[in-house]
Amino acid sequence: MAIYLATSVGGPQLPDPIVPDATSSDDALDILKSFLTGTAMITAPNTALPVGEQWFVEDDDTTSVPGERFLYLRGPGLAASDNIYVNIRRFEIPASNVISWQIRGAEGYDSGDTFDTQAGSTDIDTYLTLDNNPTPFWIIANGRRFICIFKVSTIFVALYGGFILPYATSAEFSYPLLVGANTGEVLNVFGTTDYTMGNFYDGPFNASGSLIFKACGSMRSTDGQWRGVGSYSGDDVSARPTFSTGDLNGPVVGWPHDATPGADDAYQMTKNINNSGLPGNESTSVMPFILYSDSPSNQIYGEFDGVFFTPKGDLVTEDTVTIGPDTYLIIQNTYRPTESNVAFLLA
Amino acid sequence: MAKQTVPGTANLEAFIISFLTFAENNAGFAAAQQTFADPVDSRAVYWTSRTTNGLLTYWTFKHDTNAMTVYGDDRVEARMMSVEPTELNYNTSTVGQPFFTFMATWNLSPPFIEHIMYSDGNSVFLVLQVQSNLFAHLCFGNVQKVGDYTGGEFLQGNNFEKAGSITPWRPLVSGPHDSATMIFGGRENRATAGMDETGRNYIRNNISGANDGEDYTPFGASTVATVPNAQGTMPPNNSFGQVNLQQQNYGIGFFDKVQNTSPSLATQRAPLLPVYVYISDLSNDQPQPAGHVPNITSVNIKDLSPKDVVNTDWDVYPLAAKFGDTDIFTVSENWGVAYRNIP
Repeated sequence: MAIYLATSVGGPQLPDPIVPDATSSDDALDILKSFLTGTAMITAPNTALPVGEQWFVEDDDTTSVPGERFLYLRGPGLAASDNIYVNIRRFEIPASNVISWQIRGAEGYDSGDTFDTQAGSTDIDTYLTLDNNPTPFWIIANGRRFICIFKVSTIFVALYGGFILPYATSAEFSYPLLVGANTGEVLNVFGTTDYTMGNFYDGPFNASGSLIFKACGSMRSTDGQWRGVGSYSGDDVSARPTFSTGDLNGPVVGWPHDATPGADDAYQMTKNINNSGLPGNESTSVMPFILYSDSPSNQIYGEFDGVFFTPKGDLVTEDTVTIGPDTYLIIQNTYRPTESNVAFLLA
Repeated sequence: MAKQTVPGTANLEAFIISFLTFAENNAGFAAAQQTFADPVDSRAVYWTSRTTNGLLTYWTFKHDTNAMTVYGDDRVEARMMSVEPTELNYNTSTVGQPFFTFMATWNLSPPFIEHIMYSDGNSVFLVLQVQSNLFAHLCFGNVQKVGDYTGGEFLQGNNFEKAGSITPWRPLVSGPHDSATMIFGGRENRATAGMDETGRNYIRNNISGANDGEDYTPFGASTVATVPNAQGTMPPNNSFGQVNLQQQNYGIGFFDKVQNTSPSLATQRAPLLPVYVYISDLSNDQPQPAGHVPNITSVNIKDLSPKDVVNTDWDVYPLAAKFGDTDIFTVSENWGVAYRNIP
């Protein structure tokens, strides 16, 4: 039995906050669309997606629901051999000051279906909380996945849409699609500062019985079922809730987090890793987020593509670090400047 | 990258002589020296050396047979030193590792089946096949450092324990291994006196700047180190009790968890998990990234057999034995290690 340890690849990106900033959540969607489809005006040091990795727009629907917009994207993979369906809904709830995107993965696209009823669509709710003020953001993309990081005021929210790097062949895990953002709560706003906020690599999930119905992300598993992604229970009222174990259908956990009660302690440990390095050494390290599940048992899926854990140490959000030939953008998790960071591989 | 298999290993001294030649030919170590006998037992001490980044380090190896209560009585005794080894300083703690590193062979009599040696030009990874399904591991070299601190040299060996002065050997996965050492893993030993009580694994890190025994950081898993060195671990968890190649069951650790979760029931695949090295700081006890050791990984071998080749060029071994009689040796169940064999 062969074993495969994936290695993340970066990809073309907009490494600097886009100038001018996205002026609204709708403008941000325009920018993402133009970048993924190769129509954006790219200036150095930004780089464009190669033609063969550019995404297709199945539809950009601004009329079917007043005040909302639905962008249906299809990624070609790295060799134009895949069809990766990621759908984004932009909406607002003025009474609650909500300005958000909702993200869903699907197995296909049909113009006769709605955002919620696309073939094989996840039914786990995942939202990205935005604003309509100027918002710097970064896009890192290839033909398999795209990642967006938004600096909404002082909050950093992130979006992941596309394939992970599976520990499997394409025959064994044919459609390793993961979509993630920063909350499962539709009424959350970007300024929400509690346990219901957390980017997809370290965020909450909520379950009812054995089913996860909202989470910071969802992943289509090896059996074709969608599983919630989450590192802690969003039902708990404590600041850093621990996991709820049991017969949940998931969640998919991103190591170094741990699906065991008390695992927040382990998280605390990683948080406490000092990144300032050994004496005379101001270096850091990054580690892959390894996606696995204990329920059902013995499920180990793969890694995020281009997203890495890095200890907090002396790093602050928006730092960039270079390790060998790779450059990483360091971002805090939503509103939490004192906890561990995540590193996005830029190039 | 080099791999060499030597069949019919007569004894541990022959093993030492063999791998020192291999290290010289493939990893830039100095020609093996044998200049003195250990004044404790008159056994021959072999040593090699290498300078990396301006730092000269010596590695010593000896076939040791001094009796130990809960460990094997027959082993490779090894040590990194900061000065050239002599019969006068060999047992002096301040010029190198405060404790020896051991690779033990469960009191089993040679000849051994064979030994397999790997090198990427930087490190040397050694596997001694003691019996058909039983393996011992030893490795030394340099980590791929994070940053430019002085040090990075390592010496790691497996030394397992018995439940008492007699057998059985404690099962690796479920047994209370308080002081077993394993390559890039295991428990940070609690020996408090003498250099040969239980053995430890080390990474060199010039913390004190004095080029003395405090510059050797023990690898392991205890919250409180009993020597004034900082403590190496990789990567740590909440209790400092876990390390990367987590062969024990001390609770939940990083790679312990993902290795326990593999292989996937859906794909039967298990990841090759890389070795990250962390060293804690004396001042605040915070682990800091120290490096990565390429071409060696941990792996769950539930669906694999010893010497299987996976992912094109990775050779798989149990940490000890996947199954067997604990009255004779340690059973490590599904905890495995893989070495990369690039022609």
